[in-house]
Amino acid sequence: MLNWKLVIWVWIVGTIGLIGCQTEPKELPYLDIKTESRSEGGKTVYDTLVREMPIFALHNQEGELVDETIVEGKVHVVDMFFINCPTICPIMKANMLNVYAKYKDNPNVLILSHSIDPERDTIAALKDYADRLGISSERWQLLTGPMKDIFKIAEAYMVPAEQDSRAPGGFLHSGAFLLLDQNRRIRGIYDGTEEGEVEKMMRDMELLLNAA
Amino acid sequence: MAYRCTDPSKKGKRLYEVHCANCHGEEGQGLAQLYPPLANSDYLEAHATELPCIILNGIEGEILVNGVSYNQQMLGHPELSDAQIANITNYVVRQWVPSRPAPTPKDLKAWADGCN
Ligand code: HEC
Repeated sequence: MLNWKLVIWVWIVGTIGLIGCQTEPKELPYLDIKTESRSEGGKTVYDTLVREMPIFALHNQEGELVDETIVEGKVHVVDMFFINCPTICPIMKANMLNVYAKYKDNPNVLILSHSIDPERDTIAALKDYADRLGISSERWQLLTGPMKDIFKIAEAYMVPAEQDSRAPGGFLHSGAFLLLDQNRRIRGIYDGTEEGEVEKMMRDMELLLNAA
Repeated sequence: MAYRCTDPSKKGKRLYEVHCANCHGEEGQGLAQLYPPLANSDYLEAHATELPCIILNGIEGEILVNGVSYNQQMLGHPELSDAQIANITNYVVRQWVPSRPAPTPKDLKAWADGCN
C-alpha cells in the first residue's frame, strides 16, 4: 500500500526545493555582522555590530605604498597567498586568473592578494610573479608589508593565516576568496580552490556591480 | 575494453591529480608563465628519461618550455615511493609525450636508477 502521507511530504518538500532553486536572490547578504553582549543594569543586552574592515599601508608589486582608499567605491575580492606555496595557491591563482580575465577592463573592480610570506615575497619577487601571471596592478594588486600587519589584516578579513614550520611551504592559510562591496562590506565568502564556487562569485559580483 | 584495477596508468592518473595537477593542471596545461605545461612540452620530450628524478628531487633555475621561460622552484617529492613515481612517470609520458613509445617497466626502473 502506498504511504500517502509520505508521498505528500515528498511532493511538498520537492516543490519548495524547486522554487528555492529557481529564484536567484536579488540581494546578497551581509556577512560582516557580529553580535556582542554587554550587561546593562544587571541585564545582558546584545548589540548587532558591523565588523570593521582593516586599514592598511602596504606595498604593491610596483613598489607603491597603498592604503585602503584604493578599494573605495569598488567591488573587490581579497585572498591570501605566498609565492612558494606548493599546495592550494596555484589552484587559487588559476581560478583568480579567470576573474581577472573577466574584469581586467572594468575600473569598478579590484583584486587584492595579500602575501603572508614577506621574507621571501619581496616587492621584486611579487613583480616577477605578477609579470609571469600576466596581470596589471591596475586591476590586481599583490601586497606585502610587515608580518604582524599582514596577520592582523588576515584576522580582520576572517581568513586566518599563520606561520607553521610543519606546513608545506611554511605557512597555513585559508583558500577563501572574500567578496566585498563598494562600501567595504563582506557580501560573500567562497572556496577559491573550487572552480564552481568562483563562478558563483563572479555571478555575485554582477549583482553588486549592477546594484551600484 | 577490459577494465583492470591494476592498470598502472590509472593509478598514475590518480597520483598525478593528487601530487602534480594543482600546479601543472588536470590536462597538463600549466599556468601562465608560472607553471610550465607538461602536455606537448618540448622540454619534457627531450628530458623524459629524467622525469623520475625531476619528481623525486624537484627542479629549479631558468628553463625554456616551448620557447617560454620559466624560473621558479619545483620542490621534490621525497614522500613518494619508487612505485608511485614509476606510475606517475608512466602516466605522464603516455599521456603527454606522444612521440615516445610507452615506457616499459624496465625503462622506468633504468630511468629511476639514474638519479640519486
Ligand atoms: C608547487 C607546484 C608544482 C608541483 C606540485 C609540481 N610541479 Fe613540476 N614544475 C613546477 C615548476 C615551477 C616548474 C619549473 C621549474 C623551473 O623553473 O626550473 C616545474 C617543472 C616541471 C617539469 C619540467 C618542465 C616541463 O613542463 O616539461 C616537469 C616534467 C614537471 N615539473 C613534472 C611534475 C610532476 C610529474 C609533478 C608531480 C609529481 C610535478 N611536476 C609537481 C611546479 C610544480
